[in-house]
Parts: sequence; C-alpha cells; structure tokens
Amino acid sequence: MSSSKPPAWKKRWRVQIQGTALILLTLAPFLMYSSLQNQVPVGMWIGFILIALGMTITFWIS
Amino acid sequence: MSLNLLNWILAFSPVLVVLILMLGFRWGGSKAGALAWLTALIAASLFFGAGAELIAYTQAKAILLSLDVLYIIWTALLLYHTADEAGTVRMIGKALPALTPDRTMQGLLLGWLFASFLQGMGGFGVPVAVAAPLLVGLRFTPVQAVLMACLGHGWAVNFGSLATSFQTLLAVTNLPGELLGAPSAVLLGISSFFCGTLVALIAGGWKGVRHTLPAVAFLSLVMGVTQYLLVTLGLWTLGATGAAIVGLLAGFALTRLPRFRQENGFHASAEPDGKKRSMLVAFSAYVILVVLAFAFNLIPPLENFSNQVVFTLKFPELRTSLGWIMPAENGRKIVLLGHPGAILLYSSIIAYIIYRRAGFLQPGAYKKILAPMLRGSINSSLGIVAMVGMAVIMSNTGMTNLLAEGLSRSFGSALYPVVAPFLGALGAFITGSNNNANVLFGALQMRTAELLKLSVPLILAAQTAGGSLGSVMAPAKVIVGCSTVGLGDNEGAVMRPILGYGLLPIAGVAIMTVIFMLLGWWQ
Repeated sequence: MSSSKPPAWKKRWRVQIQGTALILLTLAPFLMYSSLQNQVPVGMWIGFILIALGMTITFWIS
Repeated sequence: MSLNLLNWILAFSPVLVVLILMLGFRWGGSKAGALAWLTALIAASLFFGAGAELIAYTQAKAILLSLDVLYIIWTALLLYHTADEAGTVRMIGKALPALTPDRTMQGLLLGWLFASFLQGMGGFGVPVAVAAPLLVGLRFTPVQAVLMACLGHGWAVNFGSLATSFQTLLAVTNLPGELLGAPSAVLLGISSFFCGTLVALIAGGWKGVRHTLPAVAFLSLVMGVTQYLLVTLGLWTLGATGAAIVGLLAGFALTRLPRFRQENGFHASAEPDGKKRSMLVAFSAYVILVVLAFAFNLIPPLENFSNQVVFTLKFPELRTSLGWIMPAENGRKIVLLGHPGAILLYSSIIAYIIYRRAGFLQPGAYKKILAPMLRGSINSSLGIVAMVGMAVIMSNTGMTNLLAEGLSRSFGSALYPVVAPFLGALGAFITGSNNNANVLFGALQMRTAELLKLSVPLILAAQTAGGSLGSVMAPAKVIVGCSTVGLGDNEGAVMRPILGYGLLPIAGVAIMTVIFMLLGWWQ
C-alpha cells in the first residue's frame, strides 16, 4: 500500500500560500484596531475582507 | 440574552462544528477551525447582537492571544529541529533505552515526568512541542507520542508556568491563595496518578500498566506531596516545577531498580559515522532551556530586564445589542524578551553555536533547520489563529457564559460538584487554556457554589483542576503536538482518543470532589 507523495514544488507552493494566509490573518486585526482607534471605519472593513480572504485560503488549502 | 435551549445550542454551535469536523470527519485543525470561526461569527452577529466594531476588536484580542502562543510554537520547533539536525534526538532515543530498556518506563520518563517539568518551566504548548518528537524518536507512533505528551502533563498545568492559572483564579474570585491552594493541590496531586497511569496505558497497554503501577503510585505520591507542601507553604508559583523535579529525580532513581534496569550505562554513544559524541553536548539544547527558564523566572534583575519590552493593546468596553458587556481591558501582554518563546529562541541560538563548534552541525545547517520548521508550523499556526478567533468571539459576546449558565442551572447542589470540573474543562477545551477557563468561569463557579450552599474553595479547586486537565485536550494544544510529529493535517486522529482518555482524570476529579464534599472538607 503506497500513497503518492506530492512533488516538492507543490509542497513549496502550498507552504507559500499558507504563509500568505497567515500574514493576512495576522496583519488584518491590527489594521482593524488601528482604524477603529483613529476612527477610520473603512480600514475596519478592509480588515474584514482580508480576514475573510485569509480564512477562505486556510479552508481551501488545508 | 435569556437562557433557553435554542440559545444554548446556538452558543454551543461553534464548538459542535469543531467536534463534528475533527472527530467525525477527521478534518485538520486549520480547516475545521476556519469553519468554526465562521460559525461563531454568524451566530454572534445574527443571534447574540455583536456589531462589526465589536467583532473587529475581538479579532484584535484574538491575534494578540494567538501571537502569544505562536511565539512558543515557532521557537519550540526551532529548538527541536536544531537538536534534531545535530543528531541529538536520535541520541536521546538511544540513551533512554540505555537508562532503562522498559518501554513503559521510557514513556513515563518523557511523556509524564519530563513533560510535567516542561509545563512547570514553560507553559502553553512547550511540553507537547518538546516531548512529543522525543517520544517519536523512541519509536512510539506519532499518535501515541502526542497523546502521552498531552495527557501526561495535565495535572501540572494549574501550578505550572509559575502558577499563572491559579493566580488568575485568585484574581477573578478575590480569594486568598491560602484558602484555595490546599484543595487544588490535593485534587491535582491525585490526578497526577491518573495522568501517569494513562501514559503507561498508551505506552505499554494494560501489561505496561500492571508492570509500572507501583512506580506510578510512588512517583505520583512523591509529586503530589511535594506540590501540596510547596503550595501550602505559599510557594505555589513553584508548585508544579518543584514537584516535577522531585518526580524526575525519583524516576531516574527507580530506573536503577532491577525491575527497570539494564547493564548498559548512560554514556556517550557511537554514531553510524563512527564519531563518538558527548552526551552532555547533545543534551545542551535542553540543559540551556532549563537553565535559562530558571534564570528568567528566579533572578529578579534578569526578570526585570526581560519585562521591559512589552507588546499589548488597550481595548475599550464592548457591548452587544443584547446588553452583554465586556469591560475595558488590556489585551494579552507579550513580554517580548522574557516570554517562554524568547527563552526557546535564546536556547536555540546558543545550542546552534555549541553544536556548530562541537562539529555536530555542518556549515549552512540553518537552511536544513528552518525549512522543516516552516513546513511544520504554518499549517498549525493557521489552525490556532482560527480556533482562538472563534473562542474570543464566543467569550466577548456572552456565548461562553451562556454555555456555563446552562450547565450550572441544569444541576442541583447534589450534582453540581460533579459538574464543576467538567465546566472548567469545557472552558479550557474551548479556549485552549486553564488560565482563560478560570477567567471565564471562576467567578461564575464561585457564585453558583454560594447559591447552592456548597464549599466555595472545593468547587473552585474542582474548576481549576478540571481546567488544568481539560486544557490538554484543547484542539489548539493538540495541533501544536501534531505539528511537531508530522501529523499536521491529521489532528482528528488524535482528537478522538484524547477525548476518550482525557475525560477519565476529570471524572476522577469529579468523584473526589463529591467524596471531599461528603466528608465535609474545606467547608
């Protein structure tokens, strides 16, 4: 019983996409916090979009 | 928000999603976490009156908590891969069988005693992240390794990490440590026996349990008594650390008994390339970790220096449209230079230099260290960010409180002592932390105990003991363990057995609480 392993480029690509999602999920809350503190609501909504994007990537790639 | 069955189910829905997807469908933590986060977001917005601003602030709180955890995970993996690349893990794998050939005893030394010691020194995730790969090095399966490393240190969480969780319980209840220390130490001291027995069961089956039962009983007695003495003498910050050190020394002494003994000594071992390598140098990564952890916690000037750079955010009062209020607070403080993650980072750098000078590492070895570290940590980091995001949404919108209220109101004074530790465990399971469970439910448990005319110290001890033992089953912690043993996409394989095993010590705490209540102790 042997399972075919994904090629190295695919692994690297997966790690890079996941890394991108992690960066989005890490930075977006700070953007939202900063926007709320400075009363710039548009930043909060951009933050929400970035988090939604990060979570979608997480769900899709995992 | 009024308490009724529909609201309770809605509040429970994110946790239910995690349980169904991870246990039923064996999804990984990151994938299940993303969907659970979405469930919490929808439930909070549609049914619990959370506005966009409140949700935005919860995500900022959540990322602070996540970074606090990720700091440890990333650096623990760095230390592990540095040691692994230097061949140390392989050497420990050879050295331990030389100390004792008994597989169950090896499992107990690493998965129970060493993991408990690391919990005393480090905190969230460190015992699992460090001990689980070492157990795999001893040819335990990855699932066995994560189960042993998680379950083995459950008893040490409350008084571990300089008793942070216990201090939090004192803070939220405004009760003195002298009142709560003794029942907590007794419940957790007895729990150490359950934790050790579970590790023996996973390592060696029932045969292993029978073979090591006297040793487990002796070691848990030694650790339980040490912890009780330290706690009742007011030294609860060293409760788990001191107990685990005494336990480790007693454990090493036990391996000299004919029952667990082998003629081979604990000497330098020859590697396949024929080079003799010093065991002291090989262990240096972990020795440095222990020395630095003690130094940063016990040397005041060093502690003061490390506390100088703190990263945190201030949050305003948050209010849902249904009237749930989260008071203004400081977010999680990340002490950048004195954090357990920082100590792991210093240890990794010093160990790298030592290994490099000793010839254990080749030039450019850092590339071979960083690549698997990145691969192992990113997926689990995503899982943790999603899970913590879910937990913070739940606690900031009153969902978690509603869950606790539902459980406490459903049971009368006769049954509540049984429920109390499970409530603590539920809080820890959701939030991944005994500390957070005490924040969430500490005051609630106290009020319920007063209303039901039950012993407040005993109920609070049951709460924190349940939280301590329940935190090791939390998906966030399981993800940490899985990421270090190559189970990064298959956390579900660990979640199912860990819930089965992990509920047993909590049931033990529930039974002990009832017995102590009937005996009239700590009234």
